[in-house]
Amino acid sequence: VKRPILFTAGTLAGLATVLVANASTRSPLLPGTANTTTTTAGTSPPSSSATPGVASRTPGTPTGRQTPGTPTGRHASTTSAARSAAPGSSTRTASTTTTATPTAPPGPTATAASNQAVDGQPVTIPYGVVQVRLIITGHTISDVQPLQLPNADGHSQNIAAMAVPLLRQQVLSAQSAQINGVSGATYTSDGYARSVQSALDAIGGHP
Amino acid sequence: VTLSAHATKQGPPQPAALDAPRAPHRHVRVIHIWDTVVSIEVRRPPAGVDITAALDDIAELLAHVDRTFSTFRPDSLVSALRRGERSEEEILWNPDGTAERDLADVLRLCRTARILSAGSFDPWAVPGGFDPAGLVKGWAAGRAIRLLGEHGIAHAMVNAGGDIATAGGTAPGIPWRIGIRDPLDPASILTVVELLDGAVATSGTYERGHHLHPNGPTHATQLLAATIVGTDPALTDALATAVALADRATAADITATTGYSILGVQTTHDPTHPRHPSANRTIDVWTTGPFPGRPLGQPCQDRTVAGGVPGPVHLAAQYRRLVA
Repeated sequence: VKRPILFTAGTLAGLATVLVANASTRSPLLPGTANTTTTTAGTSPPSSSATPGVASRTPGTPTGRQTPGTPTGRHASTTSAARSAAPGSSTRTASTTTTATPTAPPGPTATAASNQAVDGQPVTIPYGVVQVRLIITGHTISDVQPLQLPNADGHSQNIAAMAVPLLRQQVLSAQSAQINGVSGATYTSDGYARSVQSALDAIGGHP
Repeated sequence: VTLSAHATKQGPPQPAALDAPRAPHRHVRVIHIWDTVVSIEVRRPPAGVDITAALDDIAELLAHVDRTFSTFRPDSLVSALRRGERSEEEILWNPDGTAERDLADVLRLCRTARILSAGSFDPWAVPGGFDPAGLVKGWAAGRAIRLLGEHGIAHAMVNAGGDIATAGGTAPGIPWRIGIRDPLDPASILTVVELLDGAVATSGTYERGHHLHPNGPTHATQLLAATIVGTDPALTDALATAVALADRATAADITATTGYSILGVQTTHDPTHPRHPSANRTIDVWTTGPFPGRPLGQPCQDRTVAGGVPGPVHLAAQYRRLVA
């Protein structure tokens, strides 16, 4: 029972890595820059795209939150399942809740207080379509939120509901252990995508 | 790692994307090579250092290592050695050019590692002839660190597919913190090693899809992973390979002769168990020498005792209890 779930979590972690890298290609993770959404992390669920907490999205940016035809109701139900499976995560997110001014001028260093949400591109995996949002506080990822999860059937939903907390734990534990790298048996390129090292590389390492 | 012909295969978006530093003093580059991934992180380069040029030099170094040492490339120097077109003595005593000098260096280190491991690491004993793959990754990581130093970069870490070489800490006096992966859980860290200048290498049977006992339960005890903390990256890599292929007694001997610390994770099962062997196995974590592992907080929270932070020995006991 454990193995397929870990695999799914690993796949998501790899996706998160690529998504972060993609996000940083489009724009550096600085406050007020186009394509990042300054928001109050943890207070606005991913499905509430019309809430006042989300602001200053650059028009024309391909973000899956606005992907047409996505059943928002499904988001909400899957997300709440994921959240209830990881009771500690909401506390962590809430503790970093700060509102930054969307119009803050870009600078060489981001202030530690500002949270930014970076939405990844939707990615198709064997279970369905996955899209995550990364909440970035300063230079680190403070939360990983699902925006779109496989919802084809009950089984996939169950897997996704358990995988997302694992993904969050993997990304966040790499940071909370304050490690700079991970030593392990030689991984393939594929294994790297599922590794904590890849998460560290994606966020530029632990400060 | 197996050196492959995919020398310059670049992974999807990482290298260019990750060159953009999140902070001015920190630079990360990820290079897909040798069928694995090399992560390079540089801290606090002095003003005036062209960091992009330095990292480009590392990429070229890694490609050179592949061209020289790959057993999958017919035109590599190692392939010529394996075919008998070149002699080992000729390369050792009269090397011509960078590639041959590098191979001579690797040959000497392989001989040293073979002796230090009492023959457990033996690149000459593999089918097809001399194959230094068990040492070259660490060697390349060490070379990369040295090359960065020549660019004036004093704080750097190179992670070559899980084998790590470090220099200078993340800042003067602040060590690099290296997580040791739990062989049974890719998302968990077993312990954390702090290093200013040195090397950490892990070898194991878990990552590349090996089963515990491909030919049935022939051994009651099998190492899942061995991690060595040492000074020379090449020897550290080779000796980790050696221990993973051998046992705890070999690890103790290597610690006695080299002064390197070793952490092992092994599984013991009852081969007479009527069901699958893993149905009745226990996991042990042991160390030889003063392993510089740090106790864990967050990632292994469920493995720590309330009110106390366990060192490696206590960690081992808890790990055994929780995994079994």
